[in-house]
This record gives sequence, structure tokens and C-alpha cells, in this order.
Amino acid sequence: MRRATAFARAVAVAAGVVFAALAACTSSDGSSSSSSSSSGSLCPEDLPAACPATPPSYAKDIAPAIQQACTPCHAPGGQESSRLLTDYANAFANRGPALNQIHACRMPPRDAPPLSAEHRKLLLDWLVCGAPNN
Amino acid sequence: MGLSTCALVLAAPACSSSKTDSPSSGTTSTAAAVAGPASTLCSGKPVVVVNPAVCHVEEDAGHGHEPDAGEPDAGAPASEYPDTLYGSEGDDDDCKYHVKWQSTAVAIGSDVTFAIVATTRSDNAPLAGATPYAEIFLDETHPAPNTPAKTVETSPGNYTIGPVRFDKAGNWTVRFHFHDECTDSEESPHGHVAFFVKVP
Repeated sequence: MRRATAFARAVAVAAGVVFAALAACTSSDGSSSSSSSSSGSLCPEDLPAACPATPPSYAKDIAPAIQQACTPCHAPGGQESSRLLTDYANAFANRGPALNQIHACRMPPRDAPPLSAEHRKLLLDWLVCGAPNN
Repeated sequence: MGLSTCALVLAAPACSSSKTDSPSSGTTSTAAAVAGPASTLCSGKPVVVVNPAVCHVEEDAGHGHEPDAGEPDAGAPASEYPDTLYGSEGDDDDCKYHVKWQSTAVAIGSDVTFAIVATTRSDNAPLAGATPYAEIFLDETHPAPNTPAKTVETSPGNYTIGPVRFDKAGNWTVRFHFHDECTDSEESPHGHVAFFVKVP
């Protein structure tokens, strides 16, 4: 009986130590964290390994995708009017940041409709090709 | 007593594995910084004081706000970010913030964590709550292959960002964005500064 009581006490102590240790783990630095993805969900690792043999067409594929997803902000009077995407010249000038931020799911931002899978693939393919005017 | 010891042994790995997952683990240094001339972008320029409460700048319809990376040529597309900086510290393009960075060992295929310290130039106070993220690329068609790194504010104005993976040797650009949720203009808290990082 005494042996059983000692055992129970030991279990209680052990449980206390575990809880204390876990509490110390979670509150040790008081830091806060955030994901870099603006979507709040997992961002696919789908960067094209190389430019496809037939790059998407700016006129046929890319301009409509940009117009739908980007120009609500990236146009004169928009929230991001310092980085216009309203024509080919501006889209080309912003090709680097566009690739980085679309790939990292930073753009479109969290409060905007997300890119469709089709538009994401078209844009990434086109940008990896160097944003040709085709 | 034996069980208590056992519990400690069990609890310790839980702690250490959490630390292993944390981007703050690992020794950081400035070894990956690329030596070069110091930036003079903010030399002699007034310190820009921003109000963190003013995140979005109202626009006049039909007129964009002034790009914060310098004046573009008339009629030229406005897009360029300011020059990438050498070394391991510098000011953002609007001269609002001062940023110092270090990293864990940089090598192709390794998970690299950046540790940055950001302060406001107006009063040298920690730039807290700025939720920075790192835009990382070798050139215009080659970003870092892995998708977003995690940002942790370890103490006010001190952040770790990682893991970041590099897949090619060269001088990469790592552009830290602060308050990226805000409009990119001089008067907004949004700021960015880019540094070269050498990948051997």
C-alpha cells in the first residue's frame, strides 16, 4: 500500500514536471511569429525549373490575367500606383518583384481575390521566361 | 524520484526540438555579406518620420503617388527599387529605418536563417511589429526556390526569417520589406532595404 502511494506521488510529481517543462517551452521568449505568405495558407513550391518551350503569350494570356488580378491596385489611382502594371512596359519593368512576390504568395495580397491556379502557372511561366513581349 | 527524472528526460527533448524548429537557432554572423562601398543614399538627407497609424495613403484619381525609389524619367515605367547595398547594415530607401543583418552559414541547399535588427532613424527606437519578409533572388528570373520563410519577432525590432534555401552560387539579393501591408510610399511605414548575400 505504501508502495502504491509512493508510486502515485511519483506520477503526480512527474506530471507536474512535464507540465512545467512544456509551459517553459512555450513561453520562454514571448516571441511572436508570422508566415510570410499573404494567403494565410500553404504556398506551393511550384517555381518552374526552366522557361517552357512555348512561353505564355503576353497579349493572349498574361495581360488578361494581370488585368483581373493586379490592376485593381497597380493602376493610376490605385493603392499601388507607384508600381503600375497597366501595360507591357510597366509589367516588364516590374517582372523581378512580380516573380518573387507571386511565387512567394505575397501577391495578390491577403485581402484580394487569390490567383487561380491557371493564372498562377501562366504568370510564373511567363516571368521565368523573362517576360517576353509575345 | 525515478519517474520524475524520467519526466525531465522526456520533457527536455520537447523543448530542444522546438528550439531546433525555431528559426532563431543557429549561430549567425556577417560572413555572407558582400564587401563594397557604403551606401550614401541617406547622407545629408532629412530623417523621414512616419506614423505607423497611417498605413494607406489616399490617392488622387488618375494620379499615382510618387514612387519611393527615386524620380523616374518622364514617361518611363516606374518600378525600380534602389540599389542593393553591400555590407551588413544600411538604411531603407526612404531613410526611415536602419537595418543590420546576420545569417546562419550560407551554402547551396542549406536552410539559412537571417537575423535582422531594425530601428527607426528618427529616434533609434526598435522597429517593433513591422512583420518583415525577405524577397530573395539571384536575378530577374531566379528567385529563391522555396516558398515563404517564417518571420519571428524575437524581441521588439529583432527578427529572424527562415528557412531560406539558395540553389546556385553567386551574389544574391535579399530585400527586407517592413510593413509590407502598407502602401509603398515615403510617408507610409512601408520600407525596404536590399543587401547582397554571397552564396559560395
